[in-house]
Amino acid sequence: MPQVQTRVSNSNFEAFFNARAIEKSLEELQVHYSEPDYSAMGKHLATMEAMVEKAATTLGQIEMLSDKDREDLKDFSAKLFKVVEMVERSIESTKALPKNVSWREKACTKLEHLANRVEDIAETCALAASKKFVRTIEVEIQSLMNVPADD
Amino acid sequence: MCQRTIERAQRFKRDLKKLRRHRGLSSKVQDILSGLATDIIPDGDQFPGLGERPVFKIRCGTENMGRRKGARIIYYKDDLKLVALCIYLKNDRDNVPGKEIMAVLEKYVL
Repeated sequence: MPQVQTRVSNSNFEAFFNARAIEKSLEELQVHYSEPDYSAMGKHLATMEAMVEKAATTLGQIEMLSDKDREDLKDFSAKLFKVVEMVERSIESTKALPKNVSWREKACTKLEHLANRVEDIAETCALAASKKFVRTIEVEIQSLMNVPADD
Repeated sequence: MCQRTIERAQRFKRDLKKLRRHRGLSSKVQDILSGLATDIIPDGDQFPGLGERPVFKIRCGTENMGRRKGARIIYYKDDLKLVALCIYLKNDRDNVPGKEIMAVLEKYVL
């Protein structure tokens, strides 16, 4: 059965994993944190979350990966882990805001969710980039399905 | 409500046995697998590059570990069955540079 290879260059995928775009978004996020106004930050966080979920969905739709794709995924993963670190720093700075800032807790919760989701995708990319991991999973599935492996 | 059979790969059983010192993890894992099998819990993130095989990764935290540093379950799921393939503990990665995390992940998963 012919398979259509969806490349990592899928536009949704690229849009999210473009390191400059991510870093730029995070820089903007940093600016919003310092503002005593949750509305701009909340809007930005919602946009980031939407981007992350879109990327996660797109990632799951990619059926085949070339060696080059795996290299790209590995690079993306490393960048995403750095993004997680940036979000974690932002969580700390938000936590350090005065207690009378009404949206502090709400912002921390949203940031923690964002950090979790970016980390989820970073881990998924890191594992998917590993041929050894993919082979291990395939072997486990094949043995459970009781179907001989392709090779 | 969809009801799939739940199977555990040998590797998963072995991995879980290694983690038995983490109190509450086994029951939490059981709850998650049951929830996933009945679609009560939404699926985790699907892995790319596995053809048409739907393989996912989901977080599993316990009271002691929390979700961030908790375990990760990797499972296969179709319309009839859910197969838990492996489980690994997300190591405390504080102060670990991002590039090293991939190596840590491979060490724990493979």
